[in-house]
Amino acid sequence: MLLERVAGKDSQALAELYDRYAPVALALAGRILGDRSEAEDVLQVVFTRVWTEAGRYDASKGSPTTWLLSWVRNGAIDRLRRREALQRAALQSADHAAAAGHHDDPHGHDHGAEERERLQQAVASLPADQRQVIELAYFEGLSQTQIAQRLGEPLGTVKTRVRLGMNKLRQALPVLSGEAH
Amino acid sequence: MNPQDFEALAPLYALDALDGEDLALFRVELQRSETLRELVQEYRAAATTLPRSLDPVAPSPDVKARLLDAVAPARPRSAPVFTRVFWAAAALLLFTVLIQSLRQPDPEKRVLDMNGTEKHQAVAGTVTVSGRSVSIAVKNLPKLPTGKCYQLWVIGADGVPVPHGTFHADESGLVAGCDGVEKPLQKNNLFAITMEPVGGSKAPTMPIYAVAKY
Repeated sequence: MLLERVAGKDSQALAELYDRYAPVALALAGRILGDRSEAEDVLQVVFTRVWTEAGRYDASKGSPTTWLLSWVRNGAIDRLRRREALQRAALQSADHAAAAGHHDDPHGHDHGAEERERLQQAVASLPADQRQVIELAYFEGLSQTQIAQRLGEPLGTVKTRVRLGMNKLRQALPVLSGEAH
Repeated sequence: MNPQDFEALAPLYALDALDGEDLALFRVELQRSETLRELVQEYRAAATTLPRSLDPVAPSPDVKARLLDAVAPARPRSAPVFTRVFWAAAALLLFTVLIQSLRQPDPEKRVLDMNGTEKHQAVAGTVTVSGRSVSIAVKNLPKLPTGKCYQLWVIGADGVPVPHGTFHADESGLVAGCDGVEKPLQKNNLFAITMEPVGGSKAPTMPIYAVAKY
């Protein structure tokens, strides 16, 4: 319903959507880019696109969370690749994102803490080699071939690790809550 | 490949990690198989476990302010010029002071006002420059005819417009996007927006709709 209101050019709905998703979206962009300022630029561009294209959201193709976070991920990875193409400074440590995360929740509370803890446990429970290949694909946008080259592993091994790890995440995924339909 | 082979590739496709022949074959099968499409959706949802498990990060307040300002409808022009100028200046001053007090310092980052040219005075927005990354958010641009897009240009001291990203406007005339510049920007470089054929041009088509000065 929230996205429908945004599609109807309800700026209050956009503000509500932003309040709901911006913290996790910024965490994701910051994890990919390692730079808070650039991550915030991605955030603004993505939510401006949401304003423009909310009417194109198709619930049959995935949840609002998946839809919105895929835009954030793609926007951040595009910027990351552009930065690399421009031969800018090497990526800073992903720890920067964690450092940027030391800001207080503006609302003073965190309704998603329990769910986040479950999700963190699901990710942490993955064997390290499976988690590594999934993170290289998701956060760095590497293809299966690039991952194999990066790790010096056979392509078949990479495929198997991704498949096993993703199956575990799929089975562990809790019922989504707080969606913005 | 048999159906089991494609199912084994679904998690890689959901992560955008498939490439080469695997990707080509998978796309063909994806068109054909509803089951495979559903499986990809499930894996895409599963992949959101990664960002959703990160500790959330509160954005700077100015991000939301800029967003809501960018999508706000154009204000009516009925107020007297002095009143409008006075309140605009006061609001800008207050906003600037507020932002300066709240945001983390970023010596590289600059937010420039982008203003419409003489025949397009309703056009307004910002150009945000951080190092060599450039983001634009401009509203009230004319509706694009079919086959046209907006294009960003950087004009240096030599006066030669250098083509950059192309953008599309929504129904309200809002254009937003980001791009990068290859050379460091210099004082008095200009950003300009023109309407060009889709895909962009190597030299700008006049007129210029909006400009910002670095």
